[in-house]
Parts: sequence; C-alpha cells; structure tokens
Amino acid sequence: MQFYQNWQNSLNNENIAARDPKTSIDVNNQQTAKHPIEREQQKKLSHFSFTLSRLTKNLGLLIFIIAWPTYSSSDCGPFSNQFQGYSFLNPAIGQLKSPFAPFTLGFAEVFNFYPGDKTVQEQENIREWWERYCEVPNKADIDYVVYGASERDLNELRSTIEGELLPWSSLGPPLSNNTFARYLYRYKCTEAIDYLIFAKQCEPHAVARNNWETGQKDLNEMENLIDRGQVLFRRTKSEYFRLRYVYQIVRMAHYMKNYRQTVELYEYLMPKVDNDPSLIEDWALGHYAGALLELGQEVEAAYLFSRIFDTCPSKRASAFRSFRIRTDEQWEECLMRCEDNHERAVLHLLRAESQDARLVEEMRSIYRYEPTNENLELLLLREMKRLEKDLLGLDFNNKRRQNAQLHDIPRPDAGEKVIALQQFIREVEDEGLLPRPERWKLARGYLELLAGNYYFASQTFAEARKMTKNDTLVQQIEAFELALQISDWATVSDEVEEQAADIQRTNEAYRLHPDFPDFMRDKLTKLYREKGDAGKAFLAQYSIKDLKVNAGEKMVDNLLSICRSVTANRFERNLVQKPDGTTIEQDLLNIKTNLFLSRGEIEKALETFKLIPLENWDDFGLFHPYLEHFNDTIRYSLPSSAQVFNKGEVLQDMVRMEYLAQAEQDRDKSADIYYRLGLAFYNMTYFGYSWKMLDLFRSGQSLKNIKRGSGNYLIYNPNFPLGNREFFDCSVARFYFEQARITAIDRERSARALFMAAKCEQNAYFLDAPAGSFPLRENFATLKENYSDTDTYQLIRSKCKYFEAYVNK
Amino acid sequence: MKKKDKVFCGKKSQGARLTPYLPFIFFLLSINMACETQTSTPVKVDQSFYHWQTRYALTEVEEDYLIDLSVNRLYIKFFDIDKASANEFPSPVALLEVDSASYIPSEVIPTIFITNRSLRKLEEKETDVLAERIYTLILRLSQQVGVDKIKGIQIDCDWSAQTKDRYFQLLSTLRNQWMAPEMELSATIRLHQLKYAEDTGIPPVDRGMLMFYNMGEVTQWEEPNSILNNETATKYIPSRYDYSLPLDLALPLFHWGVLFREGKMIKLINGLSSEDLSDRERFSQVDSSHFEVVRSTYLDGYYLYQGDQFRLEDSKIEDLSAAVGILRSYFPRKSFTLAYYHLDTPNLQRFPHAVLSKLAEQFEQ
Repeated sequence: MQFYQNWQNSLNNENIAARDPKTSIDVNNQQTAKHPIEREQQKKLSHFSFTLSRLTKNLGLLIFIIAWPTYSSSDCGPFSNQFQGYSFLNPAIGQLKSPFAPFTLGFAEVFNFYPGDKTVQEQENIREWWERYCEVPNKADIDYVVYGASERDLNELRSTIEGELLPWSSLGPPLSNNTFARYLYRYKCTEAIDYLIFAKQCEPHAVARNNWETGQKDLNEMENLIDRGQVLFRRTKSEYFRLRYVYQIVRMAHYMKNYRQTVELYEYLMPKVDNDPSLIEDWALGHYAGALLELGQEVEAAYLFSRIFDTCPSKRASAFRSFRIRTDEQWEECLMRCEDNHERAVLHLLRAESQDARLVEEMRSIYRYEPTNENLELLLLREMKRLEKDLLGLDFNNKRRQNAQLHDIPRPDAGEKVIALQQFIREVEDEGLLPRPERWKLARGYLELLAGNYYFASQTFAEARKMTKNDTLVQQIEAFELALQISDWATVSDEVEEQAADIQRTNEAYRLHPDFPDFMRDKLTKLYREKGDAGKAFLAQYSIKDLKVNAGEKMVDNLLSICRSVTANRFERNLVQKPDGTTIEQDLLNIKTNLFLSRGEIEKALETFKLIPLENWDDFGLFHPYLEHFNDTIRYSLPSSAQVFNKGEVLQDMVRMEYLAQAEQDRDKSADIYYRLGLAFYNMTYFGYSWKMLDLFRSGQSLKNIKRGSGNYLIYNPNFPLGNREFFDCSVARFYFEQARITAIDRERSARALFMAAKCEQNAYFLDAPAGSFPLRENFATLKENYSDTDTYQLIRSKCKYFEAYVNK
Repeated sequence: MKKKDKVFCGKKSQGARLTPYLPFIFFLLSINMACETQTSTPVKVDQSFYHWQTRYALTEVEEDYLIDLSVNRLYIKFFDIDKASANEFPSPVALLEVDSASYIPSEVIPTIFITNRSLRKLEEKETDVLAERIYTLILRLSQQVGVDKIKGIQIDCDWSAQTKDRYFQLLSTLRNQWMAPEMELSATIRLHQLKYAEDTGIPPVDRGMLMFYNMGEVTQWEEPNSILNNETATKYIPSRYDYSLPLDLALPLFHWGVLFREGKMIKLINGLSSEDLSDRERFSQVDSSHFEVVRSTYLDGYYLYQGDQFRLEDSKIEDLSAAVGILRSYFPRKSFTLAYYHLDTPNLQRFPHAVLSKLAEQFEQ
C-alpha cells in the first residue's frame, strides 16, 4: 500500500495527501549497518591466513572482479531493493547535446548532466545579455548585475552614469570592478539600468516565497508596477527593453491572477515591439498561454505551450507541465492549428514524454510528420533502454527473481515490444530518410541481441561498423559485440575460459563498461552450474571469504581439484590464485578441516589439516580451547598466561586424548579426558570462546535471528551473499560431557560434567524449542537432586544465575 | 517487619469484612455499567465531511447538502507537509485557497496531511520547530477561512516504524506547547494501526479518526474494490474495542478509475464512472466494473492507448451499510463523529442525505 500511496502522490500532483489505511512498512529507509559486535569481530579477523584485503590488494583487477561482485546498474550495492541488471547502452550515441535530451531520454543518468530549470533560465538570460552587449562584458559580471546587485546598487550605478555621484570609484568594489557595470557606464546605458531597477522591483512579487509565511500578495503594488511598467515601456526607445518590459508587465498581471488583463496587455503591447528574436518572447508567451488556459482557451494554450516546449529550453519544463489536452477533439483542433509538420511532430513528442507512453506508436507518428526530427533518436534510445532492462542477460541474471518480484521486470510483453521496434526500424531504414542511419542500424543489432538472434546481431554490428568512423559509435559497437560474445557462450569449456581470461585482461569495452564483470560472472556462474562445477560457480560469483562463512563440501572439493590440477587453464588458475601467486588450496583445506571437526570427526579433520605444510599451521590461528567457564561473560579475553596452540596441534592432542580416554583404566582420569574433549568441542561452538577454531565470523545477533526449531542455522547477513552459517550445535560436546559423567566415580567430577551437559542442553533449548515453551532442564534436575552436597554444586550456584534461579524456583 | 504487618493488618481488617462479597459487588457493578452503555445512554452520531480540495469554494449543491444534513463540523485540509529533497526542512504545499463568499459551518477542524518523508531524518529540535510552524500557519489560514476560534486540529499521517517517534513527538509538542487545553487534537488511524496497535503505537492525541477505506491492493488487477472491501476490513477490525483512544469514523463516498497498462497499474482517475466510459467506439465493457480501451483516445486529459484497462471502484450504498454493520458491534456505545470523505458535488449527487442519515441512525439504534 505504500506503493499505492507513492503512486497517488506522484500521479496526482495536486493532491499529495493519499489517505491510505494500510501502509505499514517504511521500506525506504532500511538500515544495513552492522551490529557493533560484528564490527568488533570483523576487526579481529586479522589472524586468518589471508583476508579479503590481502586478496584484493595486490591481485589487481582480474581477481578483484571475480571475488567482489558489483552491480553498477543499481545504487546501493548487492543488497539494494533497486532493479539489478546490466546496461551497455551509452546515451552519448544519441544526440546527448540536444537540449531535448533530458526530456526525451528520460533516464536518470542523463538527467545528471543537465542543470535544473531555474539554472537554465538564468544561464540563458545571462547569455542573451552578453550577446546583446557585443559579447564584451564578463558573463559572471552580468550575472552579478542582473541577479546579485540590489536595487540600491543599481540606483547608485545610474546616478554615477548621470554624473550625479562622483567618481566611479565611489561605487562599491563589486560594481566598480564589474566589466558589465563599466560597460553600462561607458556607453551611458540608462535604459538598461532603468529596466534592471524595474525588474528588481517586480522580482519579490514573482518569486515563490517561503510557504510557511502566508502573507497576502501586495496586489496594489503589483498593479502599480503594471502601470509604471507601461509608462516605462512607452518612454523606452530600445525595442529589446520594451520587450522586457512587456514580459515583466504580463508576468505581474499573471501572478495577480488577472488573467483577462494578462491577455489584454500581451495582445496590446506585443505588436508594438519590433524586436530581434529573443528568448524573452517565449517567456512572455508562456504567461500569455497560462492566462489563456485559465480563461478556458485550452487548445490555444496547449498549442502555444507546445511551441514554447519546442523552442525555449529555459521554459521547456514548465511548458511540458502546462501542456494539456483533454479530449480527442481538442487534440485534432490543436493539430489543425499547427503551421507545419514539425509543429505536429512536437505535439506527438509531448505525448511521448509521458512516463508510460507507448513509444513506438508515438515514434511512428513523429516520423510520419518529420523523419528528420532529432527526438526520434532519443526516443529510440529510451525504448531500447527499457528493453535492455527487460531482456539483457535475462536467462542468467542472478537477481532476476528479485527484479520480477519487486519491479515487474521483465514486462510480460517485452518480446512483442522488441518485435514492434524492430519492425519500425526496418521500415524507416528502408525508406532511407533518416539523417543518421548508422545509429538505427546499431539499434537493430542490439535488439537482435536482446531477442537472442545472435547470428543476425553479429552481421548487423558488422554492417554498422562499415557505416561509421565516429569513435563513440565504434566504442558502442565494441561493447555490443562483447555482450554478444559473452551471451553466445552455450557451455563452459577451456576455450570459453581462455576467452574470459583474455577479455578480463585486454578488452577495452570490458574495462570501460562497469557492468561487464558482473555480466560475465553471472553468465559463467550459470554455465558452471549447468556443468556441475559447484566450486567454480561459487567462486565465479563470490569470494573465498563467503565460502569460509558458509562452506559446502562439494564446492570445497571441486575447488581443491582445480588447485591441484596440472592442466588447469588460465581462467581456472585465476579463479583460485592468490595475490602472492599461490593458490587458495590451504584455505580450502582449513575449511574442509572445519567441516569434519564440526561433525566431531577429529581424525579426518587432522588428516585433512596435515595436508597443509607444518610451517603454515600457525597462519590459521592460535587457540586454547580447553578452558573451563561456568559463568559466560560477553567480554572475555584469554588469560595472558594461557598457552595457545595452532589448530593442527589441538587436533593432534584431541586425537590422542580420544585414544587415551578409551585406553585409560583409571575411570576418573578417563573422565577427565572426556571432559577436556567436551570442553574443546564446546568452546569451538558459537557459544564458546574459541569459536574461531571453526568459524570465520560470528554475530551476536544470530541467536536472535534464527527461526527456533527449524534446524536451519544459516543466518541472513548483508555482508555475506550466501548467509552466515553459525556452529550452534553442541551435541558433540554434550556427548563427551555425558561420557565424562558416566565414566567418573568421583562425584565432584560428575557434577562438573553434568553442569556442562546442562549448558549444552540449554543451548539446544534456545535453538530448537518453540518460543514460549519451558526448558526441560533434565541435567539441572539431576544436579539438584543428586549432587547438592558437592562443592561443585555450590560453586555452580555462585557462578550460574540460570542454575541459581532453577534451584530457588 | 512485624510493625509493618501490624499496620497493614489494621487496614486489612477494615476491608476484610467486604472481601467475601467483592466478586458479587463487581458483578453487580459490571451489569449496571453494561446496561448503562448498551441501553440507557443514547448514542449520538454527528455527521461531518472532509473537504480535501485545495480551493475552498463550495458549490450550491455542497452548501445545501451540509445545511440539510445538519453538518456543523467540517474537516478542511488546510495544507500538506512534504519535502522535495532529503536535506530540506519540511514545508507546506497545496495551501488552502479560500473563496471568502463560501459558506462555512459553525465548526471547522483544520486538517493537515504530513508525508512520512517529511518526518524522516527530522531532528528532535526541528520537530519542535515544525510543530510551532504548523500551529502558526493554521492560525493564519483560519483567519483567511473566517474562523475566529478553532476547536480542534486533525493530523493525518500514515506513520511508520521509522517515523513514529518523530510523529508522536510532533503531536505531543502541538498538544502540550501550542494548543489551548480546551482544543482537541485528533489523528487519523489506519486499519492496520488499529489492529497492530501494540506494534505501531497509539498517537498521543485526544481522539482518533478511524479511516475505513482504501483497504485493498489497488495495484493488483484482481482486486475487486480497494476503496471499500468489507471482507478485507473484517480482518482488521478486532473482536472487541480495546483501543486506548476514543475513535471517530471516516467512511468513503468517493469513486475512481484505476488504469492499467500492460498489466501494470499506472494511474488513478478520480471521479471516473461507467458513464464516462459509455462510448462503445472507444471503450468496451468487460463486466460491471472492468473496461477496456478499444481505440486510443483522450480521457480527462490523459491519453489512453488501445488495450489499456480500467477497473472502476466506488463506495456503494449497500457496502457502506454493511461496513456500518461491521463497525456497529465494534464501536462502543458512545457518541462520536461520522465523517464522510469527501465533500464534492459529484460524490454528493450519488448519495441522497437520507442514505447518509440512515447510516448514522444504524449506529444510533
């Protein structure tokens, strides 16, 4: 319903107050900031063998592009709700310098090149002053005199010109150093100064005021200005300033809402001005048309607005907003008023500017009236841009589902629209009336590419190449050809991978268009998946960092095989290569070790870790997982006295302990070993202080974010596209604690093991029991019933608030 | 401890005599209260209207309608508050323009619509400034309307989780720092805000205006009637009234056409009816509420292409009556204002006053 409200707001400008009862979610301001704990933990990742920063620092563009997806067509990166696709269409191939471009192209990046309407108006006004004054004064100085100087400044300037105030230097520095003021002084242009003073007096009545102040317009003063303006109009000799007076007078009458007076003044005064062409004519015409509209002369007003839209860039936006046709009869009447086909084409152009216009229909009409209309190319670009969004890379865009759900892209009839546009292009090409046919040829080729007709697209691009030497166009052809080459890969092979490596290294279009890395990555990902190369598919899309927080065994094995392959091609080698020239093999072995360890398969874990050279074992972190904690604290740091071990040493120790625990005849000693193994496994889980043994990243929010009872420990995290898999499972630790309890004869030892098993039991409750249910606490019960006479029992009561609360229940 | 117990026991001993009878006393009291609210207290429903256009110039039809229906209170939208860019301070737009010759009922409630983006990123101090400006502007515009003394203000905002705090602060500041104690501050309440009051919060105002319309998925072609869909509405009306604000009620009298192009909703055309689409050369009727454009044409200043589709939506009398049936059992037996959205001649011509009076009577029975 928010969507609807936005719609109503945007579509009904007059009434932004959509009254909607159901809107509930404010989606525009979603925060993706990391939790402070996550940030803290990310800072602590430095001990890992290689980090993303190391990965990207020295490897250069090649691996960076592979490892770090970017979505240039969107604003907010990979987690944006915006449309995410690719674009290789360069708006510069159209007549970007055309003053119509911001309207006709209608896409955001083009608007960025253009200043706002007010700025355009001021710039054009200054330019006209500059031209009228023989291009002598500095434009910035004109700007100051016209827009910056006060009425008092201008009066002083006039007095100086009249010789009433001496000398010139007595004027303040802004004017005394001003080339335009000096020009006016030298040539005694008092009519110009008088006009500027009058314009200054009109200005407060014409500019939009702060809406919080609702002071009424000073209608008497505005009326006085109209009268005074007419006197000055009659007194002024310069036709140019007479025109400007007409503009100010008509403007005042219009803003007073005296529409009839506006029309009468315009019709009376304008014929008395014999001026050279000026933009001020259009400005005055705009007020006249606005008054006609208010008086109900809608067709005449619409026609005049269409002319202003066509000829006056500084009033184009307001003319577009004011142009209004209500009925078919009015449209026909408006067409009848047009003096030539160009004016008729402009009417269709205005209709085509509507956001949801059917462009091919309007282009046909414009072409029928005026095949050389510059806007045809811009409309063609706009339609192609839409179709590109619909269809480019549609079968492999990894965000296509999101695009469909959130943006209804592709549009259901996008295919038909391609056909309709192709048909139109063929027709106009055949007629041979287009001023720049090479652009239409290029467009036809791109549409063939979008439609999947790669063979024809290739031929058309070749034909377009022969038709132009324009470097912008040639660059565009190269980009389209590269998009064609990548799109055309049907299956992944050594040859395709070699091509990909070449493209990454040498292709200029790939370098110039920021969407190409993503385009190629998505395409290869799809091809790898189809071939069953899970690891390559993963690494083509994501980074080793993402693999570390959510590893799949099949992917790891697939990538290990690439690392070890002696026949790997260049692209494969690039995929698994690190900045220092070595491969990611050791990182993969570490990940695989973690997978075994998380399942309690210590021997397999050790066997895997041993494949990493002994001298590198410390690179994967140093730990002390055997510490016993009865009370868990948020902030914990290992005692400085604690001896730390690398993962290989810990694993060797654990394998040895498991053997010893079984072989040991002394049951309490055996229980101690089981207990120590339990501690190790517990401390490696999400809940322990040595969680880094198994995981790259842990978030304090994860426990809150899991769906209890689902068994799914994959947590959404904006930093990891595949999510963050947390090692919550304490079942292996609990097994060893229970072994310790069963084996021990000493009741203190049993109590300790029982308590640690209770912690595992509680963690399982947090994960698996439905919210609102009560924990079973079987181990707490046993502890309370059977071990209350032990010292351990008292120690636990003093350390563990859960247990204390349970005892006091 | 003993001393304390003794004092407590002393008090307890007085009340203790009544203790065994307390449940019975409460039972009698509740019976009495129930009887009072359900039968003995007459419910009075004051009918009212929203004026939502930017120009206040009532037609003769509108003026007569208000007088004949004895409407004393009119909610007039004075302005909207919006901001064009993120860094701008919110400002009023679509300020009310008044035709001084127009009829004014005895009570005018200035109503202000605030967009969520106006409140987003607003600092605490800025919110206080906004409250001051709103109040000052309301006073100025009231003078232009010809209202000497305003009895209340209504704020309309579909607040979200991101804007709730600022919005509520704005309301509190308006209420506590600017409005006189005898003035009443009310806020519009959407259906989801009624149902999920715990999550959305309850605005710090004197009364709420429950907006019983715009409840469907207007952007979906399959939606039968997004203006008034009683089936949807019942999902939002709780089984019992536990909203902590006294509520008034707003019902829809408007109709519109929802325009779809290529399967996508692209425009709402206010006031569109089947008569406007009766030209069979241009429009074909698919069923009672769905139409298709058979020839590209202009309609109400908007160019339609062949193949465009319309869904007409309105508030039918029988649906309004059914809505009252749903709401009657929800609303407490207390007097309240029944406001119709909105005052506009074409809307009024579809609803004789007898029909609206009957709706009010349904509540009063």
